[in-house]
Amino acid sequence: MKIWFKLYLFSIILFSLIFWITVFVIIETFHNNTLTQQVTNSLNEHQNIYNGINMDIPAYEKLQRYSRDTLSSTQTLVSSFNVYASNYNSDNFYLELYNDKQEVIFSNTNFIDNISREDLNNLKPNTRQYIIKDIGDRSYIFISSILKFSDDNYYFSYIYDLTNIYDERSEQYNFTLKLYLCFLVVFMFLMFIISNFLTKPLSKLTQATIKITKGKYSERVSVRSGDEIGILADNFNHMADEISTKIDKLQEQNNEKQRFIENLTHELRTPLTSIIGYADYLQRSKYDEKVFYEGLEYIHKEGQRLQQLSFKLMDLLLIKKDSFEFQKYGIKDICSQSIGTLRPKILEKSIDIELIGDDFECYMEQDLMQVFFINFIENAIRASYEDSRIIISIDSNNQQVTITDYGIGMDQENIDKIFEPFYMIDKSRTRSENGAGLGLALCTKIAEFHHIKIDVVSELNKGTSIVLTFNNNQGGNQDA
Amino acid sequence: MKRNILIVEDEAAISNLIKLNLQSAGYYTEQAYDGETALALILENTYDLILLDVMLPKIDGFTLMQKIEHLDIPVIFLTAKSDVINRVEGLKLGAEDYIVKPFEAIELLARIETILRRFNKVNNILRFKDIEINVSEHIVRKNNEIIDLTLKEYELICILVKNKNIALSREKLIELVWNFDYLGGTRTVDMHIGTLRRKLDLQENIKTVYKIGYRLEE
Repeated sequence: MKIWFKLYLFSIILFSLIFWITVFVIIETFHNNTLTQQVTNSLNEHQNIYNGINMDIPAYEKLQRYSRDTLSSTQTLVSSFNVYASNYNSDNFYLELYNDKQEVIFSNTNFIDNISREDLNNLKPNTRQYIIKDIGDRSYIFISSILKFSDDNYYFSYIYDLTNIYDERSEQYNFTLKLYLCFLVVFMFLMFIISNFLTKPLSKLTQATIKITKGKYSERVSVRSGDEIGILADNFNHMADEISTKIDKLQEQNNEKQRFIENLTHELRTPLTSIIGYADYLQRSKYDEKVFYEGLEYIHKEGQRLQQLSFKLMDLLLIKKDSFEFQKYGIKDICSQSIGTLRPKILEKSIDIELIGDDFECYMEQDLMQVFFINFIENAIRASYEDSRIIISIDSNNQQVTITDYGIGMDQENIDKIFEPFYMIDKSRTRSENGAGLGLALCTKIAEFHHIKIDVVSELNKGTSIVLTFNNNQGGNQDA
Repeated sequence: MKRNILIVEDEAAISNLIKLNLQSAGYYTEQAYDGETALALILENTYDLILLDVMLPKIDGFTLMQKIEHLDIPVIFLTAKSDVINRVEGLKLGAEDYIVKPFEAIELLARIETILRRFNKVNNILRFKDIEINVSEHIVRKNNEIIDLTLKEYELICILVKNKNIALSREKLIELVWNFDYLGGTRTVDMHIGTLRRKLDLQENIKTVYKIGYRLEE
């Protein structure tokens, strides 16, 4: 069941419930008041008649005693009753008189036959009893008491027709029902609009989720309200933003992984082609000394390349932070050691390399840090023209090291990719130096351990600056 | 007439390997190690076929392909990339075939031959010393005399001549002549080689290569 329909249905049920409880309480209270009023009136009436007759009785008794010609007690009472019955000009009122054998001696009713009269049972002198009874479709109150006349007990009943009061109640209920139906129609109409209006943002959200599920991650909802649904919509949009960012990131990672695998396959296939090809060729062709040694050399060289590649891959995949000990070292020492290692290459291209600036110390794993600097300086050498220069400047205030070359430089597209494994800007050049394009990827990992930020500034044909910011003095120990 | 094939491959090792294999199969070869040189060579000379690496310095294989398309020279792409998209792109550009590294020499030669045949650049006549095989007529002549060979003997001598100077394993020969599903064992190969040696007087030329198989030597 949809939420707007639930809202709709429950509000209608609630409305009806409250309406009817209120109506019931009002009508019943009113009815009870009227009834009580009428009962009091009837009791008073009964009392009046009773008193009137009782007052007459001593006079009659005296008359009976002194006159022979007087009426019997019963007749006297009947005539008395007649007077009362005719004097009260009311249709709703009846009188009855029974003798002590419960035989009717006077009655102006036309309906009381074979009706049990609980009010007459156990009736005692000087008390009265009343009861309200339904007879057919009408209701009556019966008020009874005992009249004493010449030592005889007579039962006197006053009956009043209360049907009007009950009819009035039914009429009120009937009227209210009509009123209720009118209200209900209006209420249902308004509530339909309201519940739809209130739940509309929810259906908007639902639509948006469906679209997002189908892959339209740019889908957003526009719900402008400060209520919970508005907040939900805002949060939903926020969540969608997050998801789409995450998905983009995952996509990018996936692409990266794909490139990694492609590159790795390429890097493996190339030496393997040579190794397998030469081994096969040498095995199957007629012996020729020149070809034989040439082939063996290729096999050896390509085998070495595979070995290098596998070692570098191992480095890349297996270095883990907890397997290193971090100690405090001076950056300048590391730099000059790295330059020393690269000396032959620097001389080969007759590059002028300068190390300037004040030293600062940092927690590091010395060997890794050396690999780190060697890789960057080596790349700078590769990018440099002959007889050019490389400047390594250390800034102790900002804890920065900047390696600047004045070589070939690169465009933005290349800058974005140089830290990816196997990425080579100039494939043939790198190959000739036995590189596999893993150096900078390794550097990224080392930088991660040491909390070093790497920034690259480069311009095509002008040179490249690598800015290394040592973010905290603890090096890798921070998380260790 | 020997066919001239251009090998465009930046890895000297692989380039030389291909050269060795092609030369022993009797092709002329030329080598280029980057896209630019290759383009210059192609525009200057005539080649019957080009073996083209995709990842090349300066001009990559696909770009080069587009530039030489109008020359209508059959091209086989050589690449280490094996994914389907690359393959499709290469073939869409009009390459005749696509070979993924690492490849077997015999496969490379077979593909080259198929393409040259399609371009009608293959001799219908194979020659080895005084033996002449007319491929279209299925006739083998020695000193202009027709030699009677069974179908399998004929196929065997064709393969040996096409791969002269290269040893072929018994398994390879079975695969090529008798197809994969042959279960008879390598003994059959030895028997057929024996017959060929006798019928064509090739005792000296068909060498038994230790542990491998046979090689037809000039």
